[in-house]
Amino acid sequence: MTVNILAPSLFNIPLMLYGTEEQKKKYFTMNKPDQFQGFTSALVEPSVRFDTEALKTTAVDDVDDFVLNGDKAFVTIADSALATLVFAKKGSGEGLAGIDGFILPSGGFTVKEREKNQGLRALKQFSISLDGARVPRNEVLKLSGGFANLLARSRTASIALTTGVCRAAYEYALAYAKERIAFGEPIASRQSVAFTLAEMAMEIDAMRLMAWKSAWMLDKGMDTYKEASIGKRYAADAAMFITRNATQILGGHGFVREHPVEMWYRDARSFAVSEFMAIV
Amino acid sequence: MIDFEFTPIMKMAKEFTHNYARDVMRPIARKYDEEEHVEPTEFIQKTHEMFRSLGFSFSTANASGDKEEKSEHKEKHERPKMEMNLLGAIAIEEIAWGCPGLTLRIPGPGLGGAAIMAAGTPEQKKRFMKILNGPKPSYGAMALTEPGFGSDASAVATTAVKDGDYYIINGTKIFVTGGDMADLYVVWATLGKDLGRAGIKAFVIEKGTPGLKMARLEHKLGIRASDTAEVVLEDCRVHKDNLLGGEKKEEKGFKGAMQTFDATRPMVAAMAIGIARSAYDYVYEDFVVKNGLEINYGKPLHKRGYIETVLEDMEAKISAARLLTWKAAWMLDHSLPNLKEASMAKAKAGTVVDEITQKAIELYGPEGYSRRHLLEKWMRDAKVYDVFEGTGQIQRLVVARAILDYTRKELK
Repeated sequence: MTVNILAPSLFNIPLMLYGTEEQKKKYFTMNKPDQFQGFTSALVEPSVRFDTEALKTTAVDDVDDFVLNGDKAFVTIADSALATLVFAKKGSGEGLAGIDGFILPSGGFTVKEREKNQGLRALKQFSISLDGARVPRNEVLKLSGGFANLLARSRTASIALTTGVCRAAYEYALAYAKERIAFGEPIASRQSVAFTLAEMAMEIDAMRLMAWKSAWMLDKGMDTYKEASIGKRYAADAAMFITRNATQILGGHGFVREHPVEMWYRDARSFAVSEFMAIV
Repeated sequence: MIDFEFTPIMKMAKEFTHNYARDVMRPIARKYDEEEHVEPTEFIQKTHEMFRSLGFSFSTANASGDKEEKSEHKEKHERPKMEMNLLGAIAIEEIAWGCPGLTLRIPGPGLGGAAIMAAGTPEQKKRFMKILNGPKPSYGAMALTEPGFGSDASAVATTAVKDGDYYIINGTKIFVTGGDMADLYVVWATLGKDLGRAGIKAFVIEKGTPGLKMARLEHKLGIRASDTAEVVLEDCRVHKDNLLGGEKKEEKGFKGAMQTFDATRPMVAAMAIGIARSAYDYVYEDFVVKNGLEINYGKPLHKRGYIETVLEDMEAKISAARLLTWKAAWMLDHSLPNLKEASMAKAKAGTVVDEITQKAIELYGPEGYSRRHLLEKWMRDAKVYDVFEGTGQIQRLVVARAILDYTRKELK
């Protein structure tokens, strides 16, 4: 749900940072403060060898337009977005520096089947095909090498998101452990359970501080790519530890869908494999 | 909210201590590891003079600080002029990077000083800190552990029997860090087993007091530059003015001892992080800087090698432990209760320093196992950081009780 709601920021934040005045005027006036407006972005591609720094989607200069070719996957609300920001490699640019954003209107590409993920099932994501979509020059978002900065931002947000899911699982397991009686006393009064909860609490504190530090660095205009990347990976690992153990503390009740911990366990697996909130 | 910006003093302290660790401590680290029990006299004198000239001491004793000054800052929600614990954590990480054994040899108030600051009366703080901050190198030791207990500090068997204006202390204390060179010892004793925790008191015993005897030195796995002693007390007469917190303040007894840890655990955690970083830096220098390996932060797994993945993992763990440590120190600077956070920092740092120093040797191969390099020393040094100042298990017990809101009885 959170990621659905966050989808427009994947469009709006890059636009705010790198858009021309004309682009900002056009798209920000489409954003209505009192209602949810569908905007999104498309980055991830359907390949087990997907690499953000080596996109397969290309944008080729053709007279007045750029012609986009390639497939994107895990595009949040691709079916209903008013506009989608597609990241593609332009010309011969190398690595992250060669990536720009291309704004496509609703219907500007083929929306394929809805993605079926392990967790995050409330999330509406689709694969899309660009099929030679044409993007006029004034709809190009020139990132001028700023793509790494955008990734740092999304990765920082990902750490915070991970912290939230972990907290949900931890708090649920903690409350359960205090209520659940075994051998005449709450299971939380046994060290095997209590120490696990302590470990979970430590990891949550650590990942939250990592999110805060990355966010603080972004606020200061510092290069946050490394910090955010390390933090995101760490948080994603810790999230598996936390949600797995939350499920474990509930025992059989953790495995059934009557309790939400199995859902958080599935949701948590996404954090390590997500990029730019895609999949997530 | 914690500010990640270093103040000019923090920046200066970090740079200065790092240079000192690199230029003065590193070159002699191996020597004093090999020559256990040989006093690094020159290092002690030099370090003492250097810090004295700077007006800077490696004291964890700033911990409790001045209560009035602290509440004033709390009301104004301002950053205190000097976040001494945070500054200490930043500086001590650098110093321990040089050599953790020698770090524990640096003269100053030490653990004894920390206990005095946490539990002493204003007069006692003034009187004893004068000794510990004197012109000659001096050291304050903490004598808590006994042969019969470690983690369970309430099991103190050393006795204190009142005799007029004096107390007569009898017992054996072990694992006293710096117990060979201390100018004063903070000795924990019971006024009577039937009084339970309320009967446990701390006495400051000065060097040379009749009946106080350094019995023997431990031979240790690591931190060999720092000596750990057994101290025996035989009918040792201590004046009542040396009872920390005074005779009347019941609550300052056992609780005082435990409060010491709120201040010392973040510092111990910072030392552990310093060791972890020394191992990380050593491996990084060889594999990345000299060998032209690149760490592709944020690259997908199929584009990364094992070593860079391990190095990034180490860096993440160091970062996590350091942030927890800074938070615990920062809370103390801002008069916020930090019992849980101090234990979290210590538990995390104590775990990652073992993991990282072990892994660094694995990456280095047979060379890593050789005493040609300091990696094997750091792994040995690291172990005690998950043991002293409360074992990893005790830290987790403290954290667990705090998050569950359980008493000692509810969670044993």
